[in-house]
Amino acid sequence: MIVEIGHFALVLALATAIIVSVLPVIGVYRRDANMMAVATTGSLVMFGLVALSFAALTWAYVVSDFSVKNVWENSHSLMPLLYKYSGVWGNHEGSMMLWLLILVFFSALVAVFGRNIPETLKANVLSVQAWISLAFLLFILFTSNPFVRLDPAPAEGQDLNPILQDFGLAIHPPLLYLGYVGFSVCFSFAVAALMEGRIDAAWARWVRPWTLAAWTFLTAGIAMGSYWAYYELGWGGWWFWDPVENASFMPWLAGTALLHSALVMEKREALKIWTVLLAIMTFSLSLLGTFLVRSGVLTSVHAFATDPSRGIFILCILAIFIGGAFMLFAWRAPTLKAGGLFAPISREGALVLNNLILTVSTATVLTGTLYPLALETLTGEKISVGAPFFNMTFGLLMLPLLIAAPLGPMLAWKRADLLGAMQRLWIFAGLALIVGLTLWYMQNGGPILAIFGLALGCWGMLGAVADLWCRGNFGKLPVMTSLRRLKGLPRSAWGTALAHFGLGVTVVGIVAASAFSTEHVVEMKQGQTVEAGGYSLTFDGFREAVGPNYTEERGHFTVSSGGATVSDVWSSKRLYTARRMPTTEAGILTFGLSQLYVSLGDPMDGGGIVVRIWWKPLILCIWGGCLIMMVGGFVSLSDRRLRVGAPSRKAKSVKPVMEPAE
Amino acid sequence: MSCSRISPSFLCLSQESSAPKSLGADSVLGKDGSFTTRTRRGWIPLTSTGMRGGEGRRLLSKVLLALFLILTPVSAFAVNPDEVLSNPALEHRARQISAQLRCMVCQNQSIDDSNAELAKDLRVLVRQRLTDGDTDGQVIDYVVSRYGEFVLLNPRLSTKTIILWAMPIGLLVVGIFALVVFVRSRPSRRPADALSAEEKARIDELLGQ
Repeated sequence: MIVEIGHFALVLALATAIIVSVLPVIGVYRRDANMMAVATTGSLVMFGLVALSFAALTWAYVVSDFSVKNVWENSHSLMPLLYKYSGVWGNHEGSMMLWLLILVFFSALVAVFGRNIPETLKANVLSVQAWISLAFLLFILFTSNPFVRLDPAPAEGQDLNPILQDFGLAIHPPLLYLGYVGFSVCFSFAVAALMEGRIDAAWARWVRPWTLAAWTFLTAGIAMGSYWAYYELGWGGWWFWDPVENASFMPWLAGTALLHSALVMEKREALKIWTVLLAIMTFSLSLLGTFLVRSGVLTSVHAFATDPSRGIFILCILAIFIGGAFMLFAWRAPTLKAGGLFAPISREGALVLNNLILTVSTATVLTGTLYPLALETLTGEKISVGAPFFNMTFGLLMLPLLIAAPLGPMLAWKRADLLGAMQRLWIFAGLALIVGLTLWYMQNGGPILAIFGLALGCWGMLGAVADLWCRGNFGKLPVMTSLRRLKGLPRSAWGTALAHFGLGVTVVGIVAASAFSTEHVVEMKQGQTVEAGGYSLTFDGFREAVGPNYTEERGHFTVSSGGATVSDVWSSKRLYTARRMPTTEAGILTFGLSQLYVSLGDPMDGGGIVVRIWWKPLILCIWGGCLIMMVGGFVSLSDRRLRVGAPSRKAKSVKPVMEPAE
Repeated sequence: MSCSRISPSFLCLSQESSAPKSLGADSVLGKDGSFTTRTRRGWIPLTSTGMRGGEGRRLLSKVLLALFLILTPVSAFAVNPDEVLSNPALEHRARQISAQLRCMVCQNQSIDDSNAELAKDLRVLVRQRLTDGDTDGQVIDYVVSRYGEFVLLNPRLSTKTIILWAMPIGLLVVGIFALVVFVRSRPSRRPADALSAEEKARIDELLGQ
């Protein structure tokens, strides 16, 4: 019964979506406040209904109702409770439900917090959101319905894919989708603005918090996914340039560009047309990502739902929304007036450079991801585009960006003195080089390029510190005054510094982990010892253990340094009983920011077992840096000026004509 | 696409394509009712470990590991100790080359990361050619001659990949060009030059009124 209520709520949500898609738009056209108000109420109702529906599905998972096909396919009564919850989105239907839930969640947020947005703009934004919701509701109800029942009901479920039975599944998809789908708000704002034919700095102010929020969540989601892959996949890789990863990375790159261009637009009213285009492109890439992941047109190490009808359905959604938005853009953009002027060497100029590079990198990743598919379709020839290609092209493109990142915030708006900024920074550049060299020396060797890479990372970190240093005027004013100045800085300035600092930390992590990792692949018997990363690992043998829905063989290793035992680590091979599926659980030992990674391989003739041990220096910097970026995002989001709906005064001054409409 | 239709997942890390090759125990699996072809195809994990053939099965007496052996169609990953060359310089080159060659039967992995039988064969082949004195280029040419361009994860520059390779550079050039045009077109909209004598006179006239 509860499941049927959920199903019914979803159908009701569809009906609501149709109403919200149509009425407010007519309301805007007729300047009818009541019809426009439907958008707010309707969006809230839609959120309530989808949330109810999602709750019903979750309930079916929690009580293990195997009469629901989706639950039967992806759950098991013995599964720990956490995985019953997270298992809801550990499959195609459920993950689309999560997608939808987050979409209507954002609509509801706009409805609640968008009080200061002019009524017409708000109505249009919510309608565009409803169009997207409508498309995905149709998709779920017609091709991926999670509420389908089975008769007779099976006694036991088929269990969730063991790889997904991890804490990672509980947080990675929600975070990722909060980012991915969050960009829908920017898209809706862009489309709504194009419909109204009016875009100004106030528009950028309304859009920026949503962009920032989505970007922050996407950063966290991607970083979390990367760490999950790292510890779960068992060979210590953390980024594979896999189509599915690229699918989430492209919106991130475009979203980062959007974040920066919206800044220019908000402060200087320049780059309007470009910002709108970027907002459309970012969400288009999110949709494209959904299509790539859900249709399975590309081969990937991640598996897909591969029902052709689903693929075609999403392709249609993709074509309608992206095509429609770009047509609207082509039609309306020429009517938008260009804004503020600036010299090439200025903060705006630096942000334009940032946008240029990020856009080109997005296009590069996009081409690399789709090229094999396009070539095969057009000529029948098969080629591969893999990690080596992306590492080279993307890496080269990132170089100028990383060099420029610390300079940007130092430049003044409108017209700046690059030399002056350089002078303020050269000490930090020198310091970066020294720290980079020291790190390199400490790691004994490694490719020469690594020095440069490390210096680049340190340059990013120290550049951010330098930014704060100069803003606080340290060294010129008494320390206390400087500290007070720092405290008085806008939160967005702190956010920028933190995010740029985090970027530097991530670069250091990537360079160190790629250049200085050591790998040992050895056959070990009980009692044998191997040296890795300055530690000795002794294999103590196996022990059997039983988990809730698996059994495992745990290999125990004692880790010692200089004869003294430092720690111990387990690395195991599991067998999930329901699916009869084996997995390995890597043993990971953290030393500061570095990790020792132990993974079990095949047993050999003679009783030994293949053991793979990696020493990964500074690898935690990769995700630590992302965390810092994320914190930067949240700090910036807490800026009073940026708070959702805050620019009310601005709204009034900019749009006086809208007032009488009430 | 080959992945499971019945148990789709948003992050199923499947490596089914390598499964049948490294299996060697198909009949055993077939008899196991709960382990249908369908689930096996869909859910063979990258991380799963086990062994190929029967080499290990004879030797391990522990029940649990035996279970692993019988029921596990997939081997673990990548390079095994028995493949490693004694010459570290050669081995290093072999690893470098392996990372650039695609495992033909896997989803999207290099032969260095994969443990499909074919990947192992290729790794051994690469090492053989290297020990026979081939240069890196010769080894790669040889592999390409056998398996086609598809095997290269870093596609060669040719007429069919020209767009792929030209895209980053081309877009960058176009972008910079567009920016230059944009900046050049700006001065026309800058605040006007100093007032002409005529205009000044007119203003004086207006102000004077």
